[in-house]
Amino acid sequence: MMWHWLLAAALLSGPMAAQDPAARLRAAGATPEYIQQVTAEFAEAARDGLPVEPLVRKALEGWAKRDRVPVERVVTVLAQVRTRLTEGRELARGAGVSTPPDALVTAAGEALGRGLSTDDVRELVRAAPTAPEAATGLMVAASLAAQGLERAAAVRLVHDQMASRADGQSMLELPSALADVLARGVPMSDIARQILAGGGLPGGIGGPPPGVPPRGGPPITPPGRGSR
Amino acid sequence: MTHEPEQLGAAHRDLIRLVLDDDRPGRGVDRAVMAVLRDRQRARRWRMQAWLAAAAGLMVTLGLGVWLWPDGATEAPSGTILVQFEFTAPDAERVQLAGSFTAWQPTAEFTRHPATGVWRVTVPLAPGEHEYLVVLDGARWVPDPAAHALVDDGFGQTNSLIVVGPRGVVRS
Repeated sequence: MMWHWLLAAALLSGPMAAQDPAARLRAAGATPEYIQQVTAEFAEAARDGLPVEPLVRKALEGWAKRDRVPVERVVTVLAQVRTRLTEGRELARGAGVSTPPDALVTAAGEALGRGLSTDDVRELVRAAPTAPEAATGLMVAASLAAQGLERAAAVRLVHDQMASRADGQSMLELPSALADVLARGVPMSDIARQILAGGGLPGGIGGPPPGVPPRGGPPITPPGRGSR
Repeated sequence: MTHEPEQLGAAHRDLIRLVLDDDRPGRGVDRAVMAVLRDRQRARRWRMQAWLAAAAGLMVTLGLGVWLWPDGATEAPSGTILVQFEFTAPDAERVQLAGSFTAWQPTAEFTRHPATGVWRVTVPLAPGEHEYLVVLDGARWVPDPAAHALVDDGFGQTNSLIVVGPRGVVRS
Protein backbone atom coordinates (compact mmCIF):
# COMPACT_ATOMS: atom_id res chain seq x y z
CA MET A 1 0.00 0.00 0.00
CA MET A 2 2.66 2.47 1.09
CA TRP A 3 4.74 1.37 -1.87
CA HIS A 4 2.08 2.46 -4.32
CA TRP A 5 1.70 5.85 -2.74
CA LEU A 6 5.45 6.29 -2.94
CA LEU A 7 5.40 5.26 -6.59
CA ALA A 8 2.60 7.65 -7.38
CA ALA A 9 4.46 10.38 -5.53
CA ALA A 10 7.64 9.63 -7.47
CA LEU A 11 5.74 9.78 -10.74
CA LEU A 12 3.71 12.87 -10.08
CA SER A 13 5.37 14.95 -7.43
CA GLY A 14 9.03 14.77 -8.40
CA PRO A 15 11.12 17.88 -8.58
CA MET A 16 10.58 18.11 -12.33
CA ALA A 17 6.82 17.78 -12.06
CA ALA A 18 6.76 20.51 -9.44
CA GLN A 19 8.14 23.05 -11.89
CA ASP A 20 6.04 25.21 -14.11
CA PRO A 21 5.48 23.37 -17.44
CA ALA A 22 6.54 26.37 -19.52
CA ALA A 23 9.71 26.69 -17.46
CA ARG A 24 10.50 23.04 -18.06
CA LEU A 25 10.05 23.50 -21.79
CA ARG A 26 12.22 26.61 -21.73
CA ALA A 27 14.87 24.69 -19.82
CA ALA A 28 14.80 22.10 -22.60
CA GLY A 29 15.44 24.86 -25.13
CA ALA A 30 11.94 25.08 -26.61
CA THR A 31 11.11 28.23 -28.55
CA PRO A 32 8.41 30.64 -27.33
CA GLU A 33 6.27 29.72 -30.36
CA TYR A 34 6.44 26.02 -29.50
CA ILE A 35 5.68 26.70 -25.84
CA GLN A 36 2.71 28.87 -26.76
CA GLN A 37 1.17 26.17 -28.95
CA VAL A 38 1.56 23.30 -26.53
CA THR A 39 0.63 25.19 -23.37
CA ALA A 40 -2.77 25.86 -24.91
CA GLU A 41 -3.36 22.11 -24.64
CA PHE A 42 -2.08 22.10 -21.06
CA ALA A 43 -4.57 24.84 -20.20
CA GLU A 44 -7.43 22.85 -21.73
CA ALA A 45 -6.49 19.81 -19.67
CA ALA A 46 -6.20 21.84 -16.47
CA ARG A 47 -9.57 23.46 -17.15
CA ASP A 48 -11.12 20.00 -17.46
CA GLY A 49 -9.51 18.90 -14.18
CA LEU A 50 -7.20 16.44 -15.93
CA PRO A 51 -3.58 15.79 -14.99
CA VAL A 52 -1.24 17.97 -17.06
CA GLU A 53 1.95 15.99 -16.48
CA PRO A 54 1.37 13.41 -19.26
CA LEU A 55 0.94 16.25 -21.74
CA VAL A 56 4.05 18.04 -20.52
CA ARG A 57 6.10 14.85 -20.91
CA LYS A 58 4.78 14.37 -24.43
CA ALA A 59 5.49 17.99 -25.33
CA LEU A 60 9.07 17.63 -24.07
CA GLU A 61 9.44 14.49 -26.16
CA GLY A 62 8.00 16.25 -29.20
CA TRP A 63 10.46 19.10 -28.77
CA ALA A 64 13.40 16.70 -28.47
CA LYS A 65 12.27 15.04 -31.71
CA ARG A 66 11.59 18.33 -33.48
CA ASP A 67 13.87 17.42 -36.40
CA ARG A 68 11.40 14.72 -37.39
CA VAL A 69 8.15 15.81 -35.77
CA PRO A 70 6.43 19.08 -36.76
CA VAL A 71 4.77 21.06 -34.00
CA GLU A 72 1.35 20.53 -35.59
CA ARG A 73 1.79 16.80 -35.06
CA VAL A 74 2.78 17.36 -31.46
CA VAL A 75 -0.37 19.40 -30.84
CA THR A 76 -2.50 16.68 -32.44
CA VAL A 77 -0.91 14.02 -30.24
CA LEU A 78 -1.45 16.17 -27.13
CA ALA A 79 -5.13 16.45 -28.00
CA GLN A 80 -5.28 12.65 -28.35
CA VAL A 81 -3.62 12.21 -24.96
CA ARG A 82 -6.14 14.61 -23.44
CA THR A 83 -9.03 12.63 -24.94
CA ARG A 84 -7.65 9.39 -23.54
CA LEU A 85 -7.19 10.94 -20.11
CA THR A 86 -10.82 12.04 -20.16
CA GLU A 87 -11.91 8.54 -21.13
CA GLY A 88 -9.65 6.97 -18.52
CA ARG A 89 -11.11 9.17 -15.80
CA GLU A 90 -14.64 8.24 -16.79
CA LEU A 91 -13.75 4.55 -16.77
CA ALA A 92 -12.23 4.85 -13.31
CA ARG A 93 -15.32 6.63 -12.06
CA GLY A 94 -17.52 3.99 -13.66
CA ALA A 95 -15.51 1.32 -11.88
CA GLY A 96 -16.25 2.83 -8.52
CA VAL A 97 -13.49 5.38 -7.89
CA SER A 98 -15.53 8.54 -7.54
CA THR A 99 -12.53 10.89 -7.45
CA PRO A 100 -9.73 9.12 -9.27
CA PRO A 101 -6.27 10.49 -8.42
CA ASP A 102 -4.06 11.83 -11.20
CA ALA A 103 -1.91 8.69 -11.19
CA LEU A 104 -4.93 6.51 -11.92
CA VAL A 105 -6.29 8.82 -14.63
CA THR A 106 -2.84 8.90 -16.24
CA ALA A 107 -2.40 5.14 -16.10
CA ALA A 108 -5.89 4.50 -17.45
CA GLY A 109 -5.34 6.93 -20.32
CA GLU A 110 -1.96 5.43 -21.19
CA ALA A 111 -3.33 1.89 -20.96
CA LEU A 112 -6.00 2.80 -23.48
CA GLY A 113 -3.29 4.28 -25.68
CA ARG A 114 -1.36 1.01 -25.51
CA GLY A 115 -4.31 -1.03 -26.66
CA LEU A 116 -6.09 -2.15 -23.50
CA SER A 117 -9.84 -2.15 -23.95
CA THR A 118 -12.29 -0.17 -21.87
CA ASP A 119 -13.42 -3.48 -20.32
CA ASP A 120 -9.81 -4.29 -19.39
CA VAL A 121 -9.41 -0.95 -17.67
CA ARG A 122 -12.67 -1.28 -15.80
CA GLU A 123 -11.85 -4.83 -14.70
CA LEU A 124 -8.45 -3.91 -13.28
CA VAL A 125 -9.72 -0.81 -11.52
CA ARG A 126 -12.48 -2.88 -9.91
CA ALA A 127 -10.05 -5.63 -8.92
CA ALA A 128 -7.51 -3.31 -7.32
CA PRO A 129 -7.73 -2.88 -3.55
CA THR A 130 -6.77 0.80 -3.82
CA ALA A 131 -6.61 3.49 -6.48
CA PRO A 132 -2.77 3.62 -6.47
CA GLU A 133 -2.65 -0.14 -6.94
CA ALA A 134 -5.09 0.20 -9.82
CA ALA A 135 -2.74 2.72 -11.41
CA THR A 136 0.25 0.40 -11.03
CA GLY A 137 -1.76 -2.56 -12.31
CA LEU A 138 -2.92 -0.71 -15.40
CA MET A 139 0.60 0.44 -16.17
CA VAL A 140 1.99 -3.07 -15.79
CA ALA A 141 -0.78 -4.70 -17.82
CA ALA A 142 -0.22 -2.21 -20.63
CA SER A 143 3.53 -2.90 -20.53
CA LEU A 144 3.00 -6.66 -20.62
CA ALA A 145 0.72 -6.25 -23.62
CA ALA A 146 3.37 -4.09 -25.28
CA GLN A 147 5.85 -6.91 -24.70
CA GLY A 148 3.65 -9.06 -26.88
CA LEU A 149 1.66 -10.92 -24.26
CA GLU A 150 -1.92 -11.54 -25.31
CA ARG A 151 -4.06 -8.77 -23.83
CA ALA A 152 -6.35 -11.12 -21.93
CA ALA A 153 -3.33 -12.88 -20.40
CA ALA A 154 -1.74 -9.58 -19.42
CA VAL A 155 -4.89 -8.48 -17.64
CA ARG A 156 -5.33 -11.89 -16.02
CA LEU A 157 -1.76 -11.93 -14.72
CA VAL A 158 -2.14 -8.52 -13.11
CA HIS A 159 -5.60 -9.40 -11.84
CA ASP A 160 -4.25 -12.56 -10.15
CA GLN A 161 -1.39 -10.56 -8.67
CA MET A 162 -3.82 -8.07 -7.19
CA ALA A 163 -5.96 -10.90 -5.83
CA SER A 164 -2.97 -12.57 -4.19
CA ARG A 165 -1.97 -9.41 -2.34
CA ALA A 166 1.21 -11.24 -1.47
CA ASP A 167 3.45 -8.31 -2.28
CA GLY A 168 2.31 -5.16 -3.99
CA GLN A 169 5.81 -4.41 -5.26
CA SER A 170 6.00 -7.64 -7.21
CA MET A 171 3.55 -6.32 -9.79
CA LEU A 172 6.28 -4.04 -11.07
CA GLU A 173 8.56 -7.03 -11.49
CA LEU A 174 6.23 -8.79 -13.92
CA PRO A 175 7.64 -7.20 -17.11
CA SER A 176 11.19 -8.18 -16.11
CA ALA A 177 9.99 -11.65 -15.19
CA LEU A 178 8.22 -12.03 -18.54
CA ALA A 179 11.35 -10.89 -20.40
CA ASP A 180 13.37 -13.41 -18.41
CA VAL A 181 11.01 -16.27 -19.29
CA LEU A 182 11.05 -15.26 -22.96
CA ALA A 183 14.85 -15.15 -22.93
CA ARG A 184 14.83 -18.74 -21.71
CA GLY A 185 13.07 -19.70 -24.91
CA VAL A 186 9.52 -20.26 -23.70
CA PRO A 187 7.08 -19.37 -26.50
CA MET A 188 4.75 -16.47 -25.77
CA SER A 189 1.75 -18.61 -26.65
CA ASP A 190 2.72 -21.13 -23.95
CA ILE A 191 3.19 -18.38 -21.42
CA ALA A 192 -0.24 -16.92 -22.20
CA ARG A 193 -1.82 -20.38 -21.97
CA GLN A 194 -0.34 -20.97 -18.52
CA ILE A 195 -1.44 -17.57 -17.28
CA LEU A 196 -4.97 -17.97 -18.60
CA ALA A 197 -5.10 -21.37 -16.94
CA GLY A 198 -4.41 -19.63 -13.64
CA GLY A 199 -0.81 -20.78 -13.29
CA GLY A 200 0.89 -17.38 -13.43
CA LEU A 201 4.22 -16.92 -15.15
CA PRO A 202 6.53 -19.90 -15.53
CA GLY A 203 8.83 -19.59 -12.56
CA GLY A 204 6.05 -18.96 -10.10
CA ILE A 205 5.48 -15.21 -10.35
CA GLY A 206 1.96 -13.93 -10.58
CA GLY A 207 0.20 -17.15 -9.74
CA PRO A 208 -3.19 -17.47 -8.15
CA PRO A 209 -3.77 -16.45 -4.54
CA PRO A 210 -2.66 -18.94 -1.88
CA GLY A 211 -5.28 -21.60 -1.36
CA VAL A 212 -6.82 -21.12 -4.79
CA PRO A 213 -5.99 -24.07 -7.02
CA PRO A 214 -5.02 -23.31 -10.62
CA ARG A 215 -7.65 -24.11 -13.17
CA GLY A 216 -5.54 -26.77 -14.85
CA GLY A 217 -3.28 -26.75 -17.87
CA PRO A 218 0.03 -28.47 -18.31
CA PRO A 219 3.15 -27.05 -16.64
CA ILE A 220 5.64 -25.32 -18.86
CA THR A 221 9.28 -26.24 -18.63
CA PRO A 222 11.77 -24.02 -20.44
CA PRO A 223 13.77 -25.84 -23.10
CA GLY A 224 16.92 -27.40 -21.69
CA ARG A 225 15.84 -27.06 -18.10
CA GLY A 226 14.47 -29.69 -15.85
CA SER A 227 11.99 -29.13 -13.11
CA ARG A 228 13.30 -28.49 -9.65
CA MET B 1 77.11 11.29 20.65
CA THR B 2 77.07 7.67 21.65
CA HIS B 3 74.22 5.26 21.87
CA GLU B 4 73.79 2.29 24.09
CA PRO B 5 72.63 -0.79 22.20
CA GLU B 6 69.24 -0.75 23.98
CA GLN B 7 68.63 2.79 22.69
CA LEU B 8 69.07 1.75 19.06
CA GLY B 9 66.55 0.19 16.76
CA ALA B 10 66.21 -3.58 16.65
CA ALA B 11 68.04 -3.90 13.31
CA HIS B 12 71.02 -1.91 14.55
CA ARG B 13 71.22 -3.97 17.72
CA ASP B 14 71.19 -7.13 15.61
CA LEU B 15 73.95 -5.76 13.41
CA ILE B 16 76.16 -4.86 16.38
CA ARG B 17 75.56 -8.23 17.97
CA LEU B 18 76.43 -9.99 14.72
CA VAL B 19 79.64 -7.99 14.24
CA LEU B 20 80.75 -8.47 17.83
CA ASP B 21 79.80 -12.09 18.11
CA ASP B 22 80.91 -13.37 14.75
CA ASP B 23 84.39 -14.77 15.34
CA ARG B 24 84.13 -17.66 12.86
CA PRO B 25 86.71 -17.74 10.04
CA GLY B 26 85.54 -16.15 6.81
CA ARG B 27 82.74 -14.27 8.51
CA GLY B 28 83.79 -10.68 8.25
CA VAL B 29 81.91 -7.50 8.98
CA ASP B 30 80.87 -7.09 5.34
CA ARG B 31 79.12 -10.44 5.30
CA ALA B 32 77.47 -9.75 8.65
CA VAL B 33 76.19 -6.39 7.41
CA MET B 34 74.84 -7.98 4.24
CA ALA B 35 73.08 -10.66 6.25
CA VAL B 36 71.32 -8.06 8.37
CA LEU B 37 70.34 -6.01 5.31
CA ARG B 38 68.96 -9.14 3.65
CA ASP B 39 66.90 -9.81 6.79
CA ARG B 40 65.59 -6.25 6.77
CA GLN B 41 64.69 -6.45 3.05
CA ARG B 42 62.93 -9.76 3.66
CA ALA B 43 60.97 -8.24 6.53
CA ARG B 44 60.01 -5.22 4.38
CA ARG B 45 58.87 -7.56 1.59
CA TRP B 46 56.74 -9.52 4.03
CA ARG B 47 55.17 -6.34 5.36
CA MET B 48 54.41 -5.14 1.82
CA GLN B 49 52.94 -8.49 0.89
CA ALA B 50 50.79 -8.45 4.02
CA TRP B 51 49.49 -4.98 3.11
CA LEU B 52 48.80 -6.06 -0.47
CA ALA B 53 46.98 -9.16 0.75
CA ALA B 54 44.89 -7.07 3.12
CA ALA B 55 44.07 -4.57 0.35
CA ALA B 56 43.15 -7.38 -2.05
CA GLY B 57 40.93 -8.94 0.59
CA LEU B 58 39.20 -5.63 1.18
CA MET B 59 38.61 -5.13 -2.55
CA VAL B 60 37.19 -8.64 -2.94
CA THR B 61 34.90 -8.05 0.03
CA LEU B 62 33.70 -4.73 -1.34
CA GLY B 63 33.24 -6.19 -4.81
CA LEU B 64 31.22 -9.09 -3.47
CA GLY B 65 29.19 -6.69 -1.38
CA VAL B 66 28.29 -4.58 -4.43
CA TRP B 67 27.54 -7.69 -6.45
CA LEU B 68 25.39 -9.32 -3.82
CA TRP B 69 23.63 -6.17 -2.69
CA PRO B 70 20.21 -5.65 -4.25
CA ASP B 71 20.29 -3.45 -7.35
CA GLY B 72 20.06 0.18 -6.52
CA ALA B 73 20.73 -0.22 -2.84
CA THR B 74 24.30 1.02 -3.00
CA GLU B 75 24.55 4.48 -4.52
CA ALA B 76 21.17 5.34 -5.99
CA PRO B 77 19.56 8.55 -4.77
CA SER B 78 16.60 8.11 -2.48
CA GLY B 79 13.55 6.71 -4.25
CA THR B 80 15.51 5.52 -7.27
CA ILE B 81 17.25 2.38 -8.41
CA LEU B 82 20.43 2.23 -10.48
CA VAL B 83 19.75 0.73 -13.88
CA GLN B 84 22.53 -0.11 -16.31
CA PHE B 85 21.90 0.19 -20.03
CA GLU B 86 24.11 -1.57 -22.56
CA PHE B 87 24.25 -0.89 -26.26
CA THR B 88 26.39 -2.35 -29.00
CA ALA B 89 27.43 0.24 -31.57
CA PRO B 90 30.97 -0.53 -32.75
CA ASP B 91 31.08 2.31 -35.29
CA ALA B 92 29.68 5.04 -33.05
CA GLU B 93 31.90 7.79 -31.69
CA ARG B 94 29.41 8.89 -29.07
CA VAL B 95 26.35 7.22 -27.53
CA GLN B 96 23.82 8.97 -25.28
CA LEU B 97 20.58 8.12 -23.57
CA ALA B 98 17.45 10.28 -23.77
CA GLY B 99 14.12 9.48 -22.26
CA SER B 100 11.21 10.46 -20.12
CA PHE B 101 13.61 10.47 -17.16
CA THR B 102 15.88 13.10 -18.77
CA ALA B 103 13.07 15.31 -20.13
CA TRP B 104 14.11 13.68 -23.42
CA GLN B 105 17.41 15.53 -23.42
CA PRO B 106 20.38 13.30 -24.33
CA THR B 107 22.23 14.04 -21.13
CA ALA B 108 23.26 10.55 -20.03
CA GLU B 109 26.56 9.62 -21.71
CA PHE B 110 27.49 6.03 -22.40
CA THR B 111 31.11 4.94 -22.08
CA ARG B 112 32.66 2.32 -24.28
CA HIS B 113 34.15 -0.74 -22.64
CA PRO B 114 37.64 -0.94 -24.13
CA ALA B 115 37.78 -4.72 -24.34
CA THR B 116 34.29 -5.55 -25.59
CA GLY B 117 33.35 -2.36 -27.39
CA VAL B 118 29.97 -2.43 -25.64
CA TRP B 119 28.64 0.95 -24.55
CA ARG B 120 27.30 1.25 -20.99
CA VAL B 121 25.64 3.85 -18.83
CA THR B 122 24.07 3.60 -15.39
CA VAL B 123 21.28 5.95 -14.40
CA PRO B 124 19.11 6.25 -11.29
CA LEU B 125 15.46 5.63 -12.16
CA ALA B 126 12.32 5.71 -10.06
CA PRO B 127 10.37 2.47 -9.97
CA GLY B 128 7.80 2.47 -12.74
CA GLU B 129 7.62 2.74 -16.48
CA HIS B 130 10.11 4.69 -18.58
CA GLU B 131 10.35 5.36 -22.31
CA TYR B 132 13.69 6.14 -23.91
CA LEU B 133 15.87 6.06 -27.00
CA VAL B 134 19.59 5.76 -27.67
CA VAL B 135 21.21 8.66 -29.50
CA LEU B 136 24.11 7.76 -31.79
CA ASP B 137 26.68 10.43 -32.60
CA GLY B 138 24.27 13.15 -31.53
CA ALA B 139 22.05 12.60 -34.55
CA ARG B 140 20.48 9.17 -34.89
CA TRP B 141 17.79 8.27 -32.34
CA VAL B 142 17.37 4.51 -32.25
CA PRO B 143 15.42 2.10 -30.04
CA ASP B 144 17.15 -0.29 -27.67
CA PRO B 145 16.71 -3.93 -28.71
CA ALA B 146 17.22 -5.00 -25.07
CA ALA B 147 14.22 -2.99 -23.84
CA HIS B 148 11.20 -4.71 -22.38
CA ALA B 149 9.13 -3.54 -25.32
CA LEU B 150 9.01 -1.16 -28.22
CA VAL B 151 5.99 1.14 -28.25
CA ASP B 152 4.46 3.62 -30.64
CA ASP B 153 5.46 7.13 -29.61
CA GLY B 154 2.40 8.68 -31.22
CA PHE B 155 4.63 10.61 -33.61
CA GLY B 156 4.98 7.73 -36.05
CA GLN B 157 8.14 6.40 -34.46
CA THR B 158 9.09 3.85 -31.83
CA ASN B 159 10.25 4.28 -28.25
CA SER B 160 11.94 1.71 -26.03
CA LEU B 161 10.08 0.83 -22.84
CA ILE B 162 11.31 -0.56 -19.54
CA VAL B 163 9.52 -1.11 -16.28
CA VAL B 164 11.75 -0.74 -13.25
CA GLY B 165 10.70 -2.86 -10.31
CA PRO B 166 11.84 -2.63 -6.71
CA ARG B 167 14.80 -4.89 -7.54
CA GLY B 168 15.71 -3.03 -10.73
CA VAL B 169 15.52 -4.51 -14.18
CA VAL B 170 16.15 -8.23 -14.35
CA ARG B 171 18.19 -9.14 -17.40
CA SER B 172 18.82 -12.76 -18.19
